[in-house]
Amino acid sequence: MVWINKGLKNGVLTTRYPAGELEWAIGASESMEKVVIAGDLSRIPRRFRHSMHIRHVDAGSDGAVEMEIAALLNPVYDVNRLGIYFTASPRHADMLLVTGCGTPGMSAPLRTTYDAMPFPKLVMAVGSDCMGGIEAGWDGSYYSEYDVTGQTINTGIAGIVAVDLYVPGSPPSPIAILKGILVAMGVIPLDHPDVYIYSNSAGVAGSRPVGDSHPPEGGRR
Amino acid sequence: MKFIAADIEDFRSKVSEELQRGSRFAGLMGISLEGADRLLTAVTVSSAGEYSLIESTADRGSYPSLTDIVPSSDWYEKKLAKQYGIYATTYRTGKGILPDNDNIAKSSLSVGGDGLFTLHYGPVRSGVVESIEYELHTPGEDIPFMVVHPGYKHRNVESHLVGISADSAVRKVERVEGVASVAHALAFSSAVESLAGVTVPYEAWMLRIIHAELERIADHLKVAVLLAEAAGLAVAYSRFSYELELIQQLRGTLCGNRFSRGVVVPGGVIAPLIPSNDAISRVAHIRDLVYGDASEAMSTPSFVDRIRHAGKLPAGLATDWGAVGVLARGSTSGTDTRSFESVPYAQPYRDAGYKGERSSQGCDALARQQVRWEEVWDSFSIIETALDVLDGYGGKKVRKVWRAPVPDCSGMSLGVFEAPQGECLYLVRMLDGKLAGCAIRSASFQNLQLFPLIFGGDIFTDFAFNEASMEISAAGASL
Repeated sequence: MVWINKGLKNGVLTTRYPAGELEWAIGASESMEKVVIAGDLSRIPRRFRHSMHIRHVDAGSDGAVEMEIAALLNPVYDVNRLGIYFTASPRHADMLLVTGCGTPGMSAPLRTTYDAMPFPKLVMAVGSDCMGGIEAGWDGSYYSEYDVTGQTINTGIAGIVAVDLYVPGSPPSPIAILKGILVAMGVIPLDHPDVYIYSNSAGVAGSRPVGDSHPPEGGRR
Repeated sequence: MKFIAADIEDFRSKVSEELQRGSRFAGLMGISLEGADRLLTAVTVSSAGEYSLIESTADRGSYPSLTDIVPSSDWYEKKLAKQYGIYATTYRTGKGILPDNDNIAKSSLSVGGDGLFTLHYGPVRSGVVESIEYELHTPGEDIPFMVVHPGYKHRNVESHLVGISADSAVRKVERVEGVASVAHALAFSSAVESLAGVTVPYEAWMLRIIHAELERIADHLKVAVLLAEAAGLAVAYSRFSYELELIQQLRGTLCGNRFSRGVVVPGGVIAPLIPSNDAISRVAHIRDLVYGDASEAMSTPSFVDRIRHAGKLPAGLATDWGAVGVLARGSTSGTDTRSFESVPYAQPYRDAGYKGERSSQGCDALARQQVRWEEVWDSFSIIETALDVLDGYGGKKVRKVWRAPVPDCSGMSLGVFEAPQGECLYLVRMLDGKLAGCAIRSASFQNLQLFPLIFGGDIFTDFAFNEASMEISAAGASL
């Protein structure tokens, strides 16, 4: 009770992160660090601007990208100061962060995790191997690792879940992954020079290249 | 390297003979030949570091099982059955290393008894970790029986390497096991270079060694981060993860990639040291930081007491199962390929100040961590010496490409390198400059089989320590 009274008396002492720090987080990246929008982010107009809880699933990566994602928690990047947290349960997650090429063995666990997440939810695919089947050439900066052709999947993880954002790289650096998360949160605007809007062969911007769409929103299934 | 041809009936006895001479079982591999034939190759290595390849054509689809003379052959036999359809005569049905889509969740193996229950831990687990499933059979506290299922991440990597040139393959090989990119590229390149009769430029070896040792430091620091996190030591976790980040940034500065990718190619290197005048001072700075924090951690009772007596691997078990890497060197000795005379990098490593294998007889997670720290100090010293050597060649001032031309070649060869996790093997078959077959044996594949065996009387709260101290990569184990 003493601590509660003390808190009420003193008011909110926590301040927002300094603007310069956020600019550092965005501006420190080089031109190779891109974010590709493949989904319609406008379906969530006010999306997770103050905090983002992320559930990570490895769907067949080489293990390097997990190391880069884990680096986001070290004192250099310390994403908690930006309101970004990794959660153990998909029930508490706003965004599914997927790594790997989407192996047959991980298809069902990945889909189950996605289905367990509440609406509204986003999917971000990190690493070039996630893009196994996507047409090349939109920025030329990614290198497709394994498309597991012959193992029934040749479309990257987009054949399993509907991907909203891609962060290319093999593996992408922590700053590139952070940039992707900040785009997903709406902190970085979509007209930022490092943000690409994917266009399919018919020239439809923002359309998902492969895979199904998100189910209708409006509550947990 | 010694090639021993054997009939399929004599295959088992030839392997047994090699093991009785004191050799260590290093793997059982399969490779496609022309037509439907499959070449079965058992790899053994003597205590002096001489590799023997016992080869036989498995043209009738079966061969005598090796599991009773070397237990770690079990996973290899399951892999060969799934990948090539060649079965050991005593092949046991059940969940293999490469599971079918419809055979993922349930295992045919179980133990029984009052109050015993089965817990499927994975493949999706809390935290940012690789996907792997541990099937734990437990009465509630200790874990008397466990089955490991790494196959969820199987990417069919070996088949993707067939039919392409060595230069194209090395880019894929770097991505087989991300945390050991340099080691895999070096093992593969060594096999191709041996086949083509190429002598790698001395400066290229020095640069390769710098990146390989930076990779070793990074991976060993990653283990320290995981152990500190498991022990709940927030300050140690932050410090070690900060130092790991500094190492990754240094790697990025030196070659443009934080995992040193794009450096190693067959014949040498194609990404010379990016001029960085302060590289040596940065290495020294990071070494001092790590040394201070490692000393603090290893004198903190709440850290040391958690890893002491945890994950015990007796020397006899390590030898019988052919453990490799720090896991083996925490219990016994003779597995560090950098100390072998037969490998092409023996002399460059000696010139860079490599002092020989580090090992311990402690056999628990603490012993393994002590070995890791000693290897980290050695790696820092090797890097500093190699940077000095390269300085004499103008390496820090001039962008040069140190690479010998690799002619098209045909034949089969074995490449070896000491990854941070342990010995990494590549059995490569080439035909007119293209890969006709490639079999990969990562240290993680060999060591992961021992994970259920190191628990002894350990309980659930030891799980994180045991897993971290094994230094396993699921990607390397499932390929």
